[in-house]
Parts: sequence; C-alpha cells; structure tokens
Amino acid sequence: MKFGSIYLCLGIGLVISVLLSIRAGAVDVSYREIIISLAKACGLHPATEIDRIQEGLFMQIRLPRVLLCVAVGAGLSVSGALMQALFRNPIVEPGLIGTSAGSAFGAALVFVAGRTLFIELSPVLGALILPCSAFVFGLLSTLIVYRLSSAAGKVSAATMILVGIAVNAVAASGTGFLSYIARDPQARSITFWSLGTFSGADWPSVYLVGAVTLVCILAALRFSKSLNALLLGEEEAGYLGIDPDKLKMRILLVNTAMVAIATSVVGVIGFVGLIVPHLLRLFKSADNRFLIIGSALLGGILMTAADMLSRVLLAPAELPIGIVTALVGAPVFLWILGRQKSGERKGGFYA
Amino acid sequence: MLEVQNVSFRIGKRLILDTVSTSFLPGNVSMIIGPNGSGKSTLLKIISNELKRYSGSISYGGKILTAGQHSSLAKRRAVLAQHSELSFPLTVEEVVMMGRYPHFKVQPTAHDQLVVNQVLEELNMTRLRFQNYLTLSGGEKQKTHFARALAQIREVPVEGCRYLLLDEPIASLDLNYQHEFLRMARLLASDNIVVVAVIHDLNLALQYADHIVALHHGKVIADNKPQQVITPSLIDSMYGLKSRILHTDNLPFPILVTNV
Repeated sequence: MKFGSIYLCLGIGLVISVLLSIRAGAVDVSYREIIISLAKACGLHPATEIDRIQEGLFMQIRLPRVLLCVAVGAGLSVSGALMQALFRNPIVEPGLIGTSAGSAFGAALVFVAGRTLFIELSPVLGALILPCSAFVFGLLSTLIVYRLSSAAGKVSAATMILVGIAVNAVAASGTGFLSYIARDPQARSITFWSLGTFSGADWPSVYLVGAVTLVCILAALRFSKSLNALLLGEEEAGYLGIDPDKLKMRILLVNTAMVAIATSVVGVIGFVGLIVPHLLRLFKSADNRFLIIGSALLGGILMTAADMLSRVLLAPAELPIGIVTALVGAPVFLWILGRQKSGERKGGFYA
Repeated sequence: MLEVQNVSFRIGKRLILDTVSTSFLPGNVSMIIGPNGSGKSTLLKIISNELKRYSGSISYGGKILTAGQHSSLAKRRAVLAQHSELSFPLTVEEVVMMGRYPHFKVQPTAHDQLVVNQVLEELNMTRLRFQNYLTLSGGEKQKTHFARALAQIREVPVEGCRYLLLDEPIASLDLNYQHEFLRMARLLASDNIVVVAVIHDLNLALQYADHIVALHHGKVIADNKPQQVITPSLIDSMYGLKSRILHTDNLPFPILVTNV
C-alpha cells in the first residue's frame, strides 16, 4: 500500500485541524472541556464538572460546525476529483461548471418561492424539497455545460469555461433575483448564496450532509477503476469492458448529489474542489482511488482551516468563507492554468 | 475464428463499408490494407464493438456480437490503437494494470499483479516499471500499451480463442520498433490468437502477414495470401501507382517497389 503513509499523514492532519478549529473563536474552548463534554455525550459521568455554557457552546455550536466543515470540504473536493476525471481536465471544479450555482438557485427557489408563494410548507416536506430542488437544478446546469462543451467524447476546455461562465451567470442572476424579492433575512443575504457560510450549522444539517457525502464517496470509490480507464479516452475505456455513457451518467449523479446537498446548506463555496485534487497530484499520481480518498481527507482539512480563518481574522465578526477560499484558491487556479499551458506544449497536462 | 458477414456501414448518405465479408483465423496474422478513407479503421471499430449502427453481423467463435457484450468480450479481446490520448501522470505499471481491469472488481488480485510482472518481463520493460508514462518516448509509450493489451488477454479462455486487434499500431514508430511489434504479433498468432492489424506499409505486409484483406471504397477487392493480393494491378487500382514486385533468391518474401 504505497499511499498508506500519505493517508496516515492526512488523517492526523485532519484530527489536528478539527481540534484547533473547535478551540478557536470568540471564546476559547479548552481540551479539558472538549474531553469532558464528549464523555458526557457518550453517556459517561466524569468526576469533574464544567461550565454549562462552555459545554453548550462546544456541543451545539462548535462541534456541529466543524463536522459540517469536514463533510462539505470532503464532498466538494471529491466532486472536484470526479469532475476532473470525467472532463479529463484538471481545471474543472463544481463552481466552474455550474453545479454549485445551479444547486444554489434550486435551493433559493424553494427557500424563497416556497415561503413566499406557497406560504407554508410543512417542515418535513420543506426539508425534503429543498435538497431535491438543489439537486435537480445542479444536475441540469452540469448537464448543459457538459453537453455543450463536449463533442464526440472530447471536451474542449475553452468552450467548457465559456459555457460555464454563461450558465453560472444565469443561475447567479436567478438566485440574485430571488434573494432580492425574499422576505426571510437569511435568504435576503446575497453573500450567503454567493460566498457561503457555516454559521447556520446544526446537528440535522450535519447528519444530512454527512450521510449523503459518505454514501457518495463510497459509491465514487467503486467507480475509481473505471475512471482510471477513462483517462485513456472513451474508446479505449470501452475496449476494457466499460460502458462510458453509463459511467458518465452515474458519476454526474453521485457528484451532483454531493454538491447539491452541501450547497443547499452552506451556500456556494468556490475553489476548494479545484485545488484539493491538484495538491494531491503533486504526489505524481493520477490514480483516481488515491485522489478520491486523499481529496476527502485533505478537503476536510482545508475547509476546516478556511472556516477557522474566517472566524478568527475579524473576530468577533465573521468573514464569509468564500472570501477566504477564493483568496487562496484563485491564485492556485492561475498557477495551474499556467502549468497546463506549458504542459500542453510538451504534450500533456503535467508533462 | 472471427467472422465478418455482409457488414455495411453508413455515415449520413455516404456508404463507408459495402457488404464486407471475410473471416480471420487463429494462428494467422491477418492484415487489412487499403488507401486512406477505404474503411479500414471503420471495419476494425465495428469488429471491436466500438461502432454499433451497422448492418450485417460480426461473430466471435460462432457467437454473434451484440451491443451489450462490453465486459465479457473485454476478457478475451484486446485493442491497440494508433496512439492513446493518455495525458495524466501514471506509472508504466499502472497503465499495464489497466489491461487487467476486465478481470477484477475493485482491487487487483495477486494473480493480476503476477500477469503484469510477467508481461513486463517478456517485453523487457521491467526497468521502466515505476517510470512516469508521460516521460517515455513514443516507442516506449506504444510498447506500454502493447503490454497492456497482452495483460488483458493473458489467460486462455475455457472455450473459444483470444483476439488482438491492432489499428495502425506502428504508424508512428521507428524501423526498429516496427519490426519488433510485428515479430511480437507473429509470436502471439502462433499462440492460437486471432491477430488482425490495419497497416499501410505493404512491404511489411508482404513480410509478416499470413492473410491480407484489401479494402477499396468500402468493398473487399482481394482476400487471400499476401503474394496473391499484392500485385501491380491491385496497386494500380487502389492507389493509381505503377509498381513492380521483385523476387530475390535469398529472401522468403518479395519486395514491392512503387511509382516506377
């Protein structure tokens, strides 16, 4: 297992970043308080008592928030890895090809129109319709970009980016319009939809995003062999016994499910899905199994770190997390584009 | 045995293949020749189950090919294309392991690893094993894909035989690699594998083929042993070139000189 040591390092990194992120914020939470709260949550009765407010802060605010960060970071990064394999291009990510913007529109539609027009949906029905609508519009946007930018099994990167810009613009203007007419204060906040935030994290959203992301990552791992074969091109993947059309549809579904659920809870967070798989490629491997597992771990680390920064930088105020990820991610994106350009001259993305 | 029966294929109104029938036997190196646009590659794509909307039938060992046979066919039929568009950093070993994909579900077994080791050994590629595919020369890249194809059809199936389809496999290789590839193709054919190659160089066809199918405007115009197929009249009708066939005493095959 040649990637074992990398997974181990990433796993340790994830634990460290989770611990640091739980402690950081307007009020510090000590390790002692963390351990005692966790013990109590597990049904134990520790000898020492701690401040109830501190315990509540940890159990109801910090812990779900950090876990949501891990789930969303893992989901978006694995989605980036999947889309890069599907488009056979390392500059693809859900924010670029319309998945995120489409999902945000779908979520906003139910969030705003659902409350404004249909007045009151029952809470259970509303909680189901919101992610479904995000999924439908996310899938629709992704399909439009994929269909328009691919011809005869080959994806043109330039067309893909241009179609992506158009689809993103349409989805964003739709979301903008909805947030303009909305009455709900959170839906009115355009920054929530375009730059994302984890401030609304609670246990139900952790369960929802966590479960969907976990199932989707496990499903994606089953496709890793076929995705590797797809690196050879669709024809040759077919010669190896893989039905490329079926594979593409399954990947799109799994990918959109992850992105749509995450986006409907935390808004659009860009660039994570782009830079995480690319950082992993610095280990000089394009094996999709490694990229998927690695992306899940590293995505969790980076998202937790970015969220911690967004809370600490202007404490006690909070920066939208999209500002942090774009500030770090966009320069990396440009660097990758530069590398790809020089790589093409030498005959390959990474040559 | 691989049989092609009355296969026709159209793109729009253009007839690319016109009732093509032929058969390829195990033990033979069969080559498909013809000018550009004569339908050679199309025929190979139909045989390999890549193109589907054709009329007529293809049968592998007596069983007619249907669209849904992707995975079962992949265990005994390998295809080597002219060049592969692989542009990601994989090691040589990882690329060759792709040939084992039809044989395992999620993770390669010890047997799959053994096959990859053996194939690399046989092709003298063990030293390249952990090298990044993108840093290889054109010849080494193609040889890596050849190894992948060999790994794919390593096992002799319980019934029927194995098939290796080569679509202009040596078009961009130097002289040395061209002969190495065709020698390997001969060796494989002698191992009861049906070998079918699309090829442009008629002298290499004369030297290495057991059986040649000549296509012109989508029709089979000759289907026989090399020396019966490659004649000045056929060269004239296919390419519009005058030619001579030279026999020399100490060569087992003749030499074609064109445009004389």
